[in-house]
Amino acid sequence: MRQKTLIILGIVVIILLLAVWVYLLFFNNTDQTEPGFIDLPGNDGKDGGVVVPPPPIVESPDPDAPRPRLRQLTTKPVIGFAEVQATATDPIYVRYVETGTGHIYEIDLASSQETRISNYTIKDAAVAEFSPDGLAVAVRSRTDRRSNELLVGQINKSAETLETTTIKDEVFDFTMFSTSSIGYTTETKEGMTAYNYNLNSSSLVKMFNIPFYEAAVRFGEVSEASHVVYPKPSYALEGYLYTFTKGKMERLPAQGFGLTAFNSPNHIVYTRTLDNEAATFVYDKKTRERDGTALILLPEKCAVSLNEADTAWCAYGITKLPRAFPDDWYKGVFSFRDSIWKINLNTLEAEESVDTFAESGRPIDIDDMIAGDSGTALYFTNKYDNTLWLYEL
Amino acid sequence: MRFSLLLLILTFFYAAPVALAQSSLIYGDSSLTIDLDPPFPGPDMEFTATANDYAFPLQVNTMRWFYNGVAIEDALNARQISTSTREAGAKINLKLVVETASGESFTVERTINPVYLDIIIEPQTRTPAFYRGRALPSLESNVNVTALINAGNPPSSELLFTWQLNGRTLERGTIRGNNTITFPMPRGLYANLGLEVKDINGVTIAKRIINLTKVEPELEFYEFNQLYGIIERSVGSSLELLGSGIALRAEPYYLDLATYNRPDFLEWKINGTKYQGDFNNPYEISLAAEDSGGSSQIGFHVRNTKQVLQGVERELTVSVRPGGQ
Repeated sequence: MRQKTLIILGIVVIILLLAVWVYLLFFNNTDQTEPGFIDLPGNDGKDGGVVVPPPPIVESPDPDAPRPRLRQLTTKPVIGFAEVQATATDPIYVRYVETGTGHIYEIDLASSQETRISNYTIKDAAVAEFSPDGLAVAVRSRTDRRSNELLVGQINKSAETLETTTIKDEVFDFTMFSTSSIGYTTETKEGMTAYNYNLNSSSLVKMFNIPFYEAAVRFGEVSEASHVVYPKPSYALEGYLYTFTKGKMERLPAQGFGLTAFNSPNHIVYTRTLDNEAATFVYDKKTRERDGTALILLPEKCAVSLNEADTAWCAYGITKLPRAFPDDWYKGVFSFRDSIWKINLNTLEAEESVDTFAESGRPIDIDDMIAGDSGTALYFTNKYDNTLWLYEL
Repeated sequence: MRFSLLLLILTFFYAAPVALAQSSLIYGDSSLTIDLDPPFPGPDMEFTATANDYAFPLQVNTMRWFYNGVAIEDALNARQISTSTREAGAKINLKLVVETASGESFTVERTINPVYLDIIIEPQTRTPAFYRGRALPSLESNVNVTALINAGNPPSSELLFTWQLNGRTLERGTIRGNNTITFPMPRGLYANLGLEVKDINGVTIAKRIINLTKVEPELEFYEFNQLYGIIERSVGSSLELLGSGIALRAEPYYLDLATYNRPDFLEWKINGTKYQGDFNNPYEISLAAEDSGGSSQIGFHVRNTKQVLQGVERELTVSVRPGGQ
């Protein structure tokens, strides 16, 4: 009798346990969506038994504290950048392309907030140029050659990607005249040819022919503008300055060893060496007169002011230049510790705006300097590490 | 005997100019000329004009200079004047009027057509893809040269070109439209390259001689990152390794392209021991730091064994702090 009772009680217990198991299995509703992953308890105080470390005390930056006028914008190396501002009253952003990946980021200059706006990976991205409005970008990947096909992308910010088109030519120098218009050079039998490619119509129009190969091309703002061309510089070889306007080649009165040059609306600024001494001259296009400057100016270190046609912003660190200049700077054998100068191209007066080393405590060798369309800042990379910097004007 | 010898020497020195003067007189007008320095001034260029009346047989009392028909007032009776050309293609008429003691007037004119004669040198030697400068010629590397007159105006097809290299005429003489030329860089510190350009009538419109400097190949080491690519700052002759390792690339400058692409000899050495470079690119090497620290000599050597001057080698000291600190 006792044995029978025990068996019945055992069966009842088993049935009860099964019932609990079935209930838990089928009717107990939890928020867990993926098997194998468990949400860690939050710190709302409802989950007992979990020790949550106190949140770190983060002192928010004082929004009223003045920010340095010279500041580093990225820690990543960059290959192309542009200032973007929809209208004069809108916030100013800086967009840049990361070296190696081609990912595009946007920095809100007011808040310093950085957002990735394209995660489209461009393998070995090495050179990039934005359209003036920053909505499109052309990127060339690195090879052992000086050229490669060109990938052009319209930035789709919401989808965080690029809508791309590939220009299959071997592209050397290139620029974006607008979101849909690209200028580039490629090799031909007689030298280099510059084309204007329209992304909307897929039309390709020849702009001009350069009758040699080792050309440094500085495109104008639009395809119809004057484009400055000279043989790549070397201290041991003579260079000559040319412009191409509507396909017509014109020789300008500037020549010399190690010749480099840049164009401004009313002047041509060129640097050359004579007896192993570099010197910079400013040529007035109207009066056809030229004068020497006290500073040695390289096109990569200068930006023409967009608001004042006769003003250039240039970087130069007063130092003894090597005999092989500018070759050694291009090789990365010789470096500057730059100051930024404001230069009046009419009077040739130069005023030092900032000594970047004194200001930042870091050696800065300025490269690829541009003036933002807003007229409020200069942007450049530091040749020491290719990071992006800003100097507020 | 001694007197006779002296007389003979004096006669020779005295007679030579006389003979020249007499020969000049044979050509009449050439007895009074305007000489230019430089002989073919380019646009916007200062030059000197000299009255060459050495062979003029008459006593000159007055000299007057005219620039495009306008008298140069401060050049009255000057045998030499300095002036300048204007833009390319803007011809200048330089006129010299001399008056003799007897009141006779003689005129000589010279038209100067300033043109740009650009000689663009493009040596076919190796430089890295990131390098924004021009390659330089090393021994026996090919050199491409292009000549441009006034940026192609007139076109080269309407001109005659005569090239000379170290005094030797290239292409066997003058050729119409031949504004490009290629030659291997000769031995010596310099190559002397000359070019004379004539119009279709055979009149010389420009002439230049340039010295082309030969360089030795150079070698720089750069840090290479698989993601970011080459870091465009030469590491120089010493490098302190801060991380666990580094990839280095040896970049020879000005090495002949054939030697770079198919080197007879290419070798990395670490503390004197031969080492294999990267499988995909023999100009690269990957180095790992040891915890014990210390320093190592990294050497790289590339050479053409048939032309031993086409090569370069260099060493680099890489140091590591103990424990990788």
